[in-house]
Amino acid sequence: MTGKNFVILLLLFLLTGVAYSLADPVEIIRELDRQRFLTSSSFKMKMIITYGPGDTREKTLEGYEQGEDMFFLHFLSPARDQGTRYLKRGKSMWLYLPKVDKVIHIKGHMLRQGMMGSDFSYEDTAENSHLLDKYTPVLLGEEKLEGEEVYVLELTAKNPGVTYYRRKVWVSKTSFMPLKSELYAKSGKLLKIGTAEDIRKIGADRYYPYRLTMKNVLKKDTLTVIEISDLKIDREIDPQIFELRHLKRR
Amino acid sequence: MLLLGKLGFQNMFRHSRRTFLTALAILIAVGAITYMLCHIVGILDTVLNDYIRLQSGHIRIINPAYRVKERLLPLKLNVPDVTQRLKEIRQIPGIRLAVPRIRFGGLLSYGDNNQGGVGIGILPGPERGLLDIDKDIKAGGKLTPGGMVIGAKLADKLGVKRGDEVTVLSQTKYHSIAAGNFKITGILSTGFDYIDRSTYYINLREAQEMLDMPDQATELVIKLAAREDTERLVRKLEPIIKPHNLITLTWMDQGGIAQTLKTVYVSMALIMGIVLVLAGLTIANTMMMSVMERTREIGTLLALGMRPFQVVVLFLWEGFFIGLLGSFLGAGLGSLITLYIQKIGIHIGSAAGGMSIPIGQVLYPRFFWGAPLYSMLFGLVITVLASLLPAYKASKMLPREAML
Repeated sequence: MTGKNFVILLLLFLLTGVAYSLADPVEIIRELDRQRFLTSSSFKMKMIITYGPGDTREKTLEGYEQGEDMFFLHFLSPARDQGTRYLKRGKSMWLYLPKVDKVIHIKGHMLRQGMMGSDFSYEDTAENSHLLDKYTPVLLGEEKLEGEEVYVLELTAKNPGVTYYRRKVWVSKTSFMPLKSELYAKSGKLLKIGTAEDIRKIGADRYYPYRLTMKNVLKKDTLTVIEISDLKIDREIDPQIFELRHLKRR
Repeated sequence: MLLLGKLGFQNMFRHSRRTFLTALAILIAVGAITYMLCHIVGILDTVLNDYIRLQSGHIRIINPAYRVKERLLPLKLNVPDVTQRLKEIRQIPGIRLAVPRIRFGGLLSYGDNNQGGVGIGILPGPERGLLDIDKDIKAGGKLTPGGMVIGAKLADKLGVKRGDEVTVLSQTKYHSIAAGNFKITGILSTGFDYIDRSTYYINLREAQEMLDMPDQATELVIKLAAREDTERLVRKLEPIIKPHNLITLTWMDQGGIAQTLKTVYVSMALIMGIVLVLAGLTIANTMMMSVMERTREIGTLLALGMRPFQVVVLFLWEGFFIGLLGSFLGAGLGSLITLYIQKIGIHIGSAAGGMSIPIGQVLYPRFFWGAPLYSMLFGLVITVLASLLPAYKASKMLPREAML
């Protein structure tokens, strides 16, 4: 081996070494997607919605989730929302309103409205497809976010028709949770800022955010905080819960 | 001068057919103007009163930010503590009525049918003194608890009739889902297309509950004892409501009604102007003929030593008396016609349907004493003015030529 060849080899090693330390954005998002969906879960949820200074409402709910496609929420309080139920199957969403005893199919412009007055739109709660199916990720860099090592990624929509054309996501290197997300419109306007906090380890390499926040930047002073409790995972859920005809009768 | 006046008066009867024709021309013109004045005032009055009744009140109290976004019917920009505000407002003398209303956007759904519309929450009792929808209900009864009074065209589109239960889907003040079932108690036909096509009324209390707006309203609507008092009462209201971050809007500064009325006034003034010119020309023409026919007579008068200016005065007197006669009769006839039409109304049918300002299907002129008085004065002035030229011409004649 000549000295020249050695240098080339060394360079090759160095280069591949550098390449290796730079994570693959696709892999990061794939792991993020995997973490977001549990096979099945049930939980209690507290939704704290701030409408402005000193104007806060609290809602409590129970929820069930099965795979990526089925999601059910039941409002327990306050009185005016009590008994309201929400079902999502695949891309379809329904709302049962006990006061008028009616099931409403959520579609059209209603999808972009805040769910029960929160900063989460119906569409946000229904993000069932994997981010990778909709977006092309690019790694912007790595940094520290509130003491945690994160990857900073930018996701650009493959189809310009989606509500959030561009997302900037800060993904934890340990839990692969999206600790912070900025959601942008196609015009480049910042629409919402979401965070995932209080991340707990719930399995071998499973993590779960017990606290989520969402801020609709277009509405001043509003903020929605979701706090999860009583999380139970990987347990049998009565399939009836996810049936549309069951929505009205429970 | 008096002698000339007497002569002028007598001259009227010398050629009764000529006088009759001139007076008739004046009569028709003055009569028409009398009626037109009442007609315009009547229509504007109707439009205004209906606008005030159905939309703006004399004064409306709202949140200042509401004004800019009113089209979106934002419930968040509301009037809080309604009970207390009303209590304060009602103490002001000159205010006949103050009522809260909530306007909200919402989907009406019946079976598979959905229609968007504007819901209005009202207090049916007090509103009898202002909105008074009861008189426009063509089928069914008045608004009762749990009920809804719906515009006739909206009801048609939705396919509902009295007794049916419709679901209102809306958003609460907090953009949460708001829903309620209401039984249709009455079908409303106001003749105002935009109301009949898109509006429904429910009880304020139920609207407050449904929209999560306890003791709140989107507006307080005030009726005054007299419309002319508006500005004075605005000044009285302002110190009461300003500390609560509310503003007043009068019927004049809402919905472009002032702009619309201005346009109407201008076009009406234009039409009136044309009528006046035509009437003036006719009168002048008749007077001119009357002078032409009498050249010999004028010649004789001049030959007998009457001074030219006396000839002018003589003809002016004659014109004055004919004008007086024609104008008086014209104003009287115009008034009678006005009073008659005021009683029966003019049915314009659905012609007003597409208009954006509320115009009913029956228009009424409104008689006021100014109308015959003004038109009489006008008739008189025009006749005298119109006599001026022929009188002047007559005075310029040479006796020899005139008598030829």
